[in-house]
Amino acid sequence: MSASSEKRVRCLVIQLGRLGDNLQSLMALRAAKQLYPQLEITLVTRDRFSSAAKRVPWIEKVVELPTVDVLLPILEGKESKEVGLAKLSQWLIPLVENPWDLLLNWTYSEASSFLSGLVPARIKLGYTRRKDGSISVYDGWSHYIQSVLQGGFPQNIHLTDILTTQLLTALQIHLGDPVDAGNAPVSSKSFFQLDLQSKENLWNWKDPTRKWIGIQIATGQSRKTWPASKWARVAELLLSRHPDCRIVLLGESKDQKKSDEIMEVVSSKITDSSSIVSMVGKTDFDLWANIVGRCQWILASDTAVVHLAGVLGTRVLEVGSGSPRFWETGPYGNGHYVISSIEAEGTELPPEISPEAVYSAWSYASTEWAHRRQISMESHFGQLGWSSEIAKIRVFRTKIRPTNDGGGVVYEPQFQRPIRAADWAGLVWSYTARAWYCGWTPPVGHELERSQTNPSLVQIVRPLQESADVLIRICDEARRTAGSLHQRTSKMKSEKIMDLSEKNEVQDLGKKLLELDQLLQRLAQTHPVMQPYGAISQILMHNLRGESLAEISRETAEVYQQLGQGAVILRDWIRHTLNLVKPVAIQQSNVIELARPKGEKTP
Amino acid sequence: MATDGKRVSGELIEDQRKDQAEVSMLLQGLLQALLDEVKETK
Repeated sequence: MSASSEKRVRCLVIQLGRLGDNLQSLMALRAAKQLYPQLEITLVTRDRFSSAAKRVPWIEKVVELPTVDVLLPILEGKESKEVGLAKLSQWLIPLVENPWDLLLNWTYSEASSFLSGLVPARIKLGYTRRKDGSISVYDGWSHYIQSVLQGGFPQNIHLTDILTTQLLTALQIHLGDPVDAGNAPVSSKSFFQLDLQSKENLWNWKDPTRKWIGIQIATGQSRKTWPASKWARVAELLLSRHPDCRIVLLGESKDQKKSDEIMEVVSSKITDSSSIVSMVGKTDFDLWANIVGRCQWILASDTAVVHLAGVLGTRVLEVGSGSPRFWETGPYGNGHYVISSIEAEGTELPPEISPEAVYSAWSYASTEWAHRRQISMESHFGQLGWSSEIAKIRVFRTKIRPTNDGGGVVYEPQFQRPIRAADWAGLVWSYTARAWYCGWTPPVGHELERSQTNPSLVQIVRPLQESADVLIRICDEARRTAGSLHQRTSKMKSEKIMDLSEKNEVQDLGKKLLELDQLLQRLAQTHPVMQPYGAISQILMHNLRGESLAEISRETAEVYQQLGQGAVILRDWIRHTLNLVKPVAIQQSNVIELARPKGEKTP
Repeated sequence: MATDGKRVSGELIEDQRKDQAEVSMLLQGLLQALLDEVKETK
């Protein structure tokens, strides 16, 4: 049955995150709306971050959470919580009047789970609340987000891909096959309907014949923000070496001082002062999006502009923060670049990346059309005289995988180096999640090449073999035990009244399950790669929904079956990785024989 | 590896009418969590 013939489907999306989260959600929703045009989407968002959603024509309605009206008076002691509750109740009425067909809670926060619990819906994805008030998660991808992403474990599936897959899979199951949308791109310059009016004049007079590069000079979090002096040096390098380029600085009013600092430094070092302009503090969402859409490149740290540029089809160079989570929230699409500092990765330190490294990466990226990536990035850094920067950084280029390879965005390393253990674990976990929730994955070892392995990876992976085997055995035993418990309890007339032998048998099986669970948790603590198994096991067990012992034990068996599948995937990846590093036998005909003295025979 | 629909999509939830106590509990939880979030980000 084609979904196109179906009646409208009322969908409520809860996105109480920041602007960047809103933009990522809109990307995922756009894909769903293209395939299921009957979706009628209402988005709940914070008043402060609603600007993007309000400019999207296919969003039916934007409902703003009245943060200023409800929360601030309480925080300032001007109103009581009772008054706040009354206001919140009034605000909720339109949301709870009629049950929704689909509720997507894409905030993954404590507050959003209560809101989801209050709103009636036929299908719910994401966090919600049970009758007893405890947090509840119904769908697989949300289990994955809660345990692996929010647990801080390495994985490399982009959040936009997770949300898109989560929604499209649910729609396919509940609504049927989608309409054929052809190869329509998810991102486009017409994503938003902007209200520019006279505001565009502020920007139109800037020279449109030049190649404009936007620099978003600050982020919402200071630890992610790159210093003004470094941005100034990048701007100076860029303008002095590329006279065809112009730079526009972007930011909020609070970033004005930083903007002044950059303008002062750059203006003193370049001859044409009109080649850099500051729009910091002068843009609302419409003008900001207009400028970003007209730029050829956006240079920024990890902030909302990265997603905005991705949506609008403008290329991005992200100066990554210390935390290597750009796999999940970095720029989305083809041909974006991310540069991260090796020293700061995994820490809360600000990115220790030099302006010369950023300029080198950008100049390589922006001349792809000429060198067609036939020269390596290492050579490019060398030609510029900044080879010494290479050891301090990692650079990635984004690529949308072909559908046959699983689709989604992948961050391809630009320097040929062995894979790090955390990235290897991220690869395995992403693969496991696809196997669990997509039902199909490329063969084990895809995206891991022999050249990426080295002895230190082997040192980490080899001891994991035994752990993976033990995990498989635990899961298998637990699955069978839970299955036995299910069989035993489903035959009983009552779970409250049972004879002594029945009671003992049920108790023994329950005790054994508990011991196996404890064993699994202990095993998970033995190695960072094993830890996510413990986390996801706890999440899955917490979300068992059965109301009888028979139902709960059946679900428990399913959980261990799922975990067991994951453990087998881990074992296969370990085997594959260890096989990759084994010496390869070379055919005799390919061996070049050393010259032998005359008359000596080949042995 | 085939995947089952339930694992990926969640189950159908027929939300029953909530009683006043449950609504009150959820509403208070929502307000408190929102207040906590604002305090954390300040």
